[in-house]
Amino acid sequence: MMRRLFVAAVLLAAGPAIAKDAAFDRPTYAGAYEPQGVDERGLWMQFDEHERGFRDSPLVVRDEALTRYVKGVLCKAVGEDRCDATRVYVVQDKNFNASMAPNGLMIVHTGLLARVYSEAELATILGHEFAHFELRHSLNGFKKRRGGTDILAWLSLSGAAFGQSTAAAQMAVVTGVFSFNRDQEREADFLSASYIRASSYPLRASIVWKRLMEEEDALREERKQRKVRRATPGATDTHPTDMQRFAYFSELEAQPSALDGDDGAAAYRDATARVLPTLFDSLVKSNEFAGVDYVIQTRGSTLGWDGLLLYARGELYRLRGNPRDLMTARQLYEEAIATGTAPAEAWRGAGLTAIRGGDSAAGRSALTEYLTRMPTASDAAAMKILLEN
Amino acid sequence: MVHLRGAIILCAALSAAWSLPASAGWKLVSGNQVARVDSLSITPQSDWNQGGRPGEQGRVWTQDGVGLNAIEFFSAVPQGAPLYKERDKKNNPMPKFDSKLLLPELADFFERSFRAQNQVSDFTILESTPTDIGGRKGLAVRYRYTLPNDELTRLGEARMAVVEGKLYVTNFYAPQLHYFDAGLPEARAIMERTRF
Repeated sequence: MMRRLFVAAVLLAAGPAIAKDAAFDRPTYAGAYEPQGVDERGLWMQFDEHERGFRDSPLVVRDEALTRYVKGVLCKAVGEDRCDATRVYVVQDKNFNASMAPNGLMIVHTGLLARVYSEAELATILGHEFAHFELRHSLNGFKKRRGGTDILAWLSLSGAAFGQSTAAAQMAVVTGVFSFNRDQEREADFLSASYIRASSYPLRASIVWKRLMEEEDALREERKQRKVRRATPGATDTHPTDMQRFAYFSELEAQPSALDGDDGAAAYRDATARVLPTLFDSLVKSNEFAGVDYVIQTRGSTLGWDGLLLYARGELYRLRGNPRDLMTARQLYEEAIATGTAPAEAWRGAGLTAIRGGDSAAGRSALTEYLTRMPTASDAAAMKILLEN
Repeated sequence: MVHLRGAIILCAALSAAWSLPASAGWKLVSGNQVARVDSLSITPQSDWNQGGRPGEQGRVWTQDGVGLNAIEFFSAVPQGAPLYKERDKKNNPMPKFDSKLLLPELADFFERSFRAQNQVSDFTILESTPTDIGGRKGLAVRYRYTLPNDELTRLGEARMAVVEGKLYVTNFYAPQLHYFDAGLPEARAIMERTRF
């Protein structure tokens, strides 16, 4: 009892550290917005500095058409008046993610673009990130963490002074910070759904989370890991679970007219077909075979197979390299070549898998074709040596 | 009781010795002297620091810290073994070497191993060309990569060969800014003078 009273007293003493936010006059996306208050000014200054270095990072994909396309989807989702305040950077990263800094810097991973199959699906994720910006989540999260660490410092000090253990109270403060973060994520999801409902897109969010769960399950099964429990988040999870997001988006999608409108799947396929190697290369060369095969197959069954996607799947199998994988890979390369849209590297793969499978004549012929189509290939000299022996 | 306490102290001492990381110590490798690294004989021109084992069959050397310049030597990686050590087999399994790989495919294996080891999404092979390694036919691979959450362009040059079914790799890497060009001549000389 004494301990509880003591903890309550300390928390009360630390109360001013988590005082309510002051009201802001203007939204963050307003034209020529200047951050307000010492905390927001500091945060924006930090991220402005970060962005100055980041924009020149070799991780940024230098493809103006792709970046413009992604920004266009964001603008259709949240409205032209809002999206002008953002700078979108597509970044080479195989993981499904996007992020938004408080100053309007938006990062979209190639791994996200590889795992959504319509503009409507992409829009829900971009809308979610934009919602963080509009709702000033970085600033509020920063204040919450600062308040939390202030309380932790006071708790430790007071505990030492009075010889009382404050571990339980400290844990409550820490889990409170994570819970606050999850609330922000949920809030961003719901605001994103509102943007989409007001846009020309249908709401297509639940399917994204369902596929992420299926991909993770496939990978964990391959690695003989236990299935993930997704009913409720852990105390230190920063986001609601994928299952929770699937559930509440499914409810929102069941509302009248939520699914009305063109989802832009054909436009998305056309805009991304050209850059499939950029989106899939780091996935194919990773060590997540079952997960990546799930992603490639889902794109194929949703948007159709073309030469680049069949080639990517061929590479995935060849690189795993079991004898049966080499046979599957060879078939996939040949299917890719038959589409008429295969990259020159498909002949490389076909040639290597044919030679590995004991069909040297076909292998040599395919490698010769590869060098004819791509005489300046980075491995042309090594291939010539292989052909000579 | 005394015996029990003695046993506990012994167990504690043993477990402390057992848990020492392999990379705990750095050893000076003097220039212009032949250094033995597993089954390799290497003659550096200048002094290097020999660190831990990035792989079961590997050693790393550096002059200014592995973030600025490093050369790795892997000798006799057997069929079915990974190039780099399995540090988190459940979540980040390393690709396994297959002695049936064709010469150009060694670059693919190296790339996948390097990507998994360093959690790299951005990696490009600039050139892979045939080369001679200690009198054996091998492959020289020049590459460029970026570490996650890092804005430095980094370059590397690796040489690899399969000898009697086992893989031998020497791999130099450094940031493009100053360190790669500064270290490359000696790295190449080391690679060329390495003997099995």
